[in-house]
Amino acid sequence: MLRVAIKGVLARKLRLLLTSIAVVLGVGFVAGAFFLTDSMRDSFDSLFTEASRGIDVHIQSEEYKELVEKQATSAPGTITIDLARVGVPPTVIEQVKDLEGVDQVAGSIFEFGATVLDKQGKPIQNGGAPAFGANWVAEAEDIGALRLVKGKAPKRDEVLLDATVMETGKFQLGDDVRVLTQGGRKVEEFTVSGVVKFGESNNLNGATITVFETSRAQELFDMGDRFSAVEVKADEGINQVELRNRVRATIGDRYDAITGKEFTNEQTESIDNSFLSIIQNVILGFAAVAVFVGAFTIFNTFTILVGQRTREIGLLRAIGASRRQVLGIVVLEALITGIVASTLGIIAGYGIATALREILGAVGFDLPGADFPLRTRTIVASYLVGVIVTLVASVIPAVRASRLSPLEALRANPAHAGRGWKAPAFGTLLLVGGSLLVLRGFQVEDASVSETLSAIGGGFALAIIGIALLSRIFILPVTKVLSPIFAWGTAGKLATGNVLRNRARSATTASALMIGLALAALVLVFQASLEKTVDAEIDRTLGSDITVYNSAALSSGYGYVDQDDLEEIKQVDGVESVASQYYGGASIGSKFDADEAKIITAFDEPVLQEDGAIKLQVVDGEGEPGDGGVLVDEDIAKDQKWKVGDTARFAFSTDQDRKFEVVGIYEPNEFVGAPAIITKEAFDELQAPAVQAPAFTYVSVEDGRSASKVSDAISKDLGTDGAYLKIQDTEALRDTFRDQLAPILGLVFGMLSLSLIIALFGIGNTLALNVFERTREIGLLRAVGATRRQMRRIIRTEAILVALFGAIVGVLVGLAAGWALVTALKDEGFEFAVNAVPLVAVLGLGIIAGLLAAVFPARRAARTDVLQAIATE
Amino acid sequence: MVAHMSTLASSPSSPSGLAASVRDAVKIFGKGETSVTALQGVDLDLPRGGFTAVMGPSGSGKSTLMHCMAGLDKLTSGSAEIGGDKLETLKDAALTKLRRRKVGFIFQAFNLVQTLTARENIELPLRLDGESPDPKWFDEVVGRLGIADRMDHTPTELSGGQIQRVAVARALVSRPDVIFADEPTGNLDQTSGAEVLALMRAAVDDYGQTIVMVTHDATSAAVADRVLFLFDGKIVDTIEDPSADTVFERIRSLSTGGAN
Repeated sequence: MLRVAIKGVLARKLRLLLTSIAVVLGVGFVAGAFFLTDSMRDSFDSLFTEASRGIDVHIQSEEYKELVEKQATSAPGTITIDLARVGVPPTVIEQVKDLEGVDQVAGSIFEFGATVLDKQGKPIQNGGAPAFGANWVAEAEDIGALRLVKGKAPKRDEVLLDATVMETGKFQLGDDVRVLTQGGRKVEEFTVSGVVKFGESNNLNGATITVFETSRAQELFDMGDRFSAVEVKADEGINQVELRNRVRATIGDRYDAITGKEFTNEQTESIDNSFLSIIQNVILGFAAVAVFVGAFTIFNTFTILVGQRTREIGLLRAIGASRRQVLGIVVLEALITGIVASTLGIIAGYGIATALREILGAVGFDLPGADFPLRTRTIVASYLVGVIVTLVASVIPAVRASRLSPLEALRANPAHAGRGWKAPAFGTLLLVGGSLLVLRGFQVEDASVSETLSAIGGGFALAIIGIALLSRIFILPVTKVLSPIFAWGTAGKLATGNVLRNRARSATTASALMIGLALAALVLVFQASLEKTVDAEIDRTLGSDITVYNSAALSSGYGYVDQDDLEEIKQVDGVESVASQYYGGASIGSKFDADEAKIITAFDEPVLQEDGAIKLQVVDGEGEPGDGGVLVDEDIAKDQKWKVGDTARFAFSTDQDRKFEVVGIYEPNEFVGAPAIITKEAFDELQAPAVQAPAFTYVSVEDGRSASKVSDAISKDLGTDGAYLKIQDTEALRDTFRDQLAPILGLVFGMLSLSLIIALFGIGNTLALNVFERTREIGLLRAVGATRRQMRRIIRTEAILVALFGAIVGVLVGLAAGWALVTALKDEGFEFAVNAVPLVAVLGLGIIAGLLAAVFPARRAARTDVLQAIATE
Repeated sequence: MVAHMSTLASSPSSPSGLAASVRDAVKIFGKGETSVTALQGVDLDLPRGGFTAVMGPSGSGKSTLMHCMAGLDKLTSGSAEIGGDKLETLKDAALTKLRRRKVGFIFQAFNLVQTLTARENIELPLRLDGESPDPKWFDEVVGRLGIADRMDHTPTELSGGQIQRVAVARALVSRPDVIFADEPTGNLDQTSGAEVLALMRAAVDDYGQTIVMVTHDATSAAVADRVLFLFDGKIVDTIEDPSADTVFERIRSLSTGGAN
């Protein structure tokens, strides 16, 4: 039986290979995801090992560590770290310094937010990688990975730059350099005194690092006399654990000491859970689309192959093969195909990983890592995915083959499949079930992100399968409508006939395309709706003419406007008034809880009136927080059952808390961007210095002045000093909001292209099989006078009809799903909108895919040997 | 045998009087040692309005002769003509158009396109040319063939005899110079077969159609005006105005003679 199966595969190797391209691509993305992330993890591993050079014990406050972790996963602005409170004080250094077994001690500073500006004033940043600021500890030179490779240690007004920044910014030793510091609150000028490398690397896996003199760094990060951490190097022969225990005994519970090894592991773990897992999940998303689309193609091919071999199967049954054996043969063939395709997929994974790294590098995201390690996990996952998908896709055809009675099979007459009621009924069931699952995914609020995503993703997949099964019903009416437009004359009539001959097959073939286009349409609808929503929100809530903010706020979520620049803006001709907004974290209650932290905001001018910078829709009470009051939005008021006149108690990261009187309740507002508004005075008292800088500055222009001209004037006035700022009139602001979707759109269109490629192979493969199946009919057509050109046209038209059907159903499904999604988000203020142009473009892509897919089968049909085709012997 | 061939060659042959002809037709399949000579110098004229049956054992070259005469295959040497066109000078596209306009085909099986109705199948060669059939002629033909009420049915809804009648109608409707029929009744029961043959006969008698039919069956061959016997790629005998008995007898004598 194995032999029959192997021969079966070999006899159809080209066919199966073409089919398995889908599996190869899917597995390729699975393997590629692991290759890329493994390689990056290796690189970070060595980086962290490098970074912990000379660190035998690492001392940090538990709270600091928690806050850093939370900051990475929270909405930007909610978590601020008050380093003057949670940093390690110099007393710890004193305590540890004289301990037995301690060689060197260093108070180290290593924080986000010191961005070097190039000579044009633009921030130097590699993609989304962070910009770190650190201190130079001259007296503990054996600790840490920073090496001074050129120049000398920094004085108060000097900095060390990393080798990459030196190169990209074209800096020389002694040059002046401007650095955006204090989390972007201030631009300050320094002199470059030296160049550092990180171990042997020029930079920190893409991140930049700027090194300051210690007391200067403490000023810049508002940390008083404290440090991010204290690092201890042990004497020769002292073991890390032993020293750690000694340090713990000395410093007590307030600060946490861990060994250098534990420190490295913690860092690796945290990068694994954030950055790497995001990249991995994105690529695995691609893999899922490829595999899912591919499964349809494989299912189709196996169905057709089994159909073509009906006689052979009949013969096998007649000479005594049992049903189980026939089933076994088909399943074995699938197994062999799956194994071969998975192997090729792993090889393809190398190419995909390399290509992804190149592409991301080309758009400014240099990924670290060099070689792609082949781990057991990669191999196991690749084979599992490839083999399981192939097996699942071949089960139905295999069962169908085994159910044939020998006589039936020997008499085989190509049946007009796809007109039964079972498949559509089952399809309806899947569609309803899938939709319910998606709905559930949206509704269950306490579910984890992965649960929600798997409910939505799984439900969407089931619904798509359901629609694919149902679509064989629609293919008749849709094709009847399309035929007069796209299928003219006799060739068109023949092509139409071919499409409708086996509706199940045509519908399944179209499904591959349908999935990709459904995805694209869904995102296009979402995008159009979001744009409309944003536009409406801007109109509803923004009263000012120009918005100024730190460009870093777009990528990292925080960044501020320099106070000096603010003063300068006020002087620009045409500016009538300037108001700034401040953001910080706070939690409800008497004790600050970072887990529950929400954003609390304040304005330095009364801007919330009808003609102010922000149009606040007040539901109840006042429109300004007044003295000692707070304005809260409807959502939080409902949650906390607050009414005007009630007392609301908030706690801040500075360990202070305060009771406010609720003086007004407002509708949630995009530009307020926070559920609570307090006075600037209260904000200054209660919030950490780190956040006491304008996050947004709203400029209103004098009557009759053009906002865009004044905004240009502000840019011009600030010159390179203002290059780190975004100075945007309302139009430009709209564009920025829209651009924020661009990466997601890019991803989705990547997936669309991938599924288009797979669909292209699927349609091509089915057409080729159809041509093969209809050799006689093609011979007849040629005999009675169809030219080769006409034959090609027939196949091409057939492809267009199938592709268009897939494209149309896909776009409709996408529209419906988009509508459902937008409706589900109605509470967030979403409004449904459709932009026809890209949708039509997407349909056009479908037609092109069909045409491309038809090239090879059409040629083959045109070349059919008439005599062989009509030979009766 | 040579005498028979020269008789055929010297029959009246003004170009206008002939629907199709081959001269010194040689067809060799393959090359070198494995080559097979299917036709070795056949001369044949088909006068307009004649019904010719071609008989011969399997491998005698009768199908090859028909394919080469109809422009489905090319001769290795010699020439073939249909309605004044020399086939060996035509490229594939021109040959295809010639088949469309000057040749009609009736095959043993797989005669119709499954996705088209009977009417569409009949109109197919004309439609491929961008033409439509002469409605009077169409009605006449389908009426005569007794399939006028089956026009909107697809092949799956037709009986074997009806399918072959549709094929005959398709061959007739474009008024070709010659119709080639390859075992047209091979898949039919006796009654339906006889009906189809009678209709083909009538097409020759009433419309002056030229038909060449390859067949195994003596009774079928007897419907023709003359029967050619092929053996080893040569025409070895001819019977004019055959009857089933004379044909049958000749087959017997040929097969014993051929065995030597």
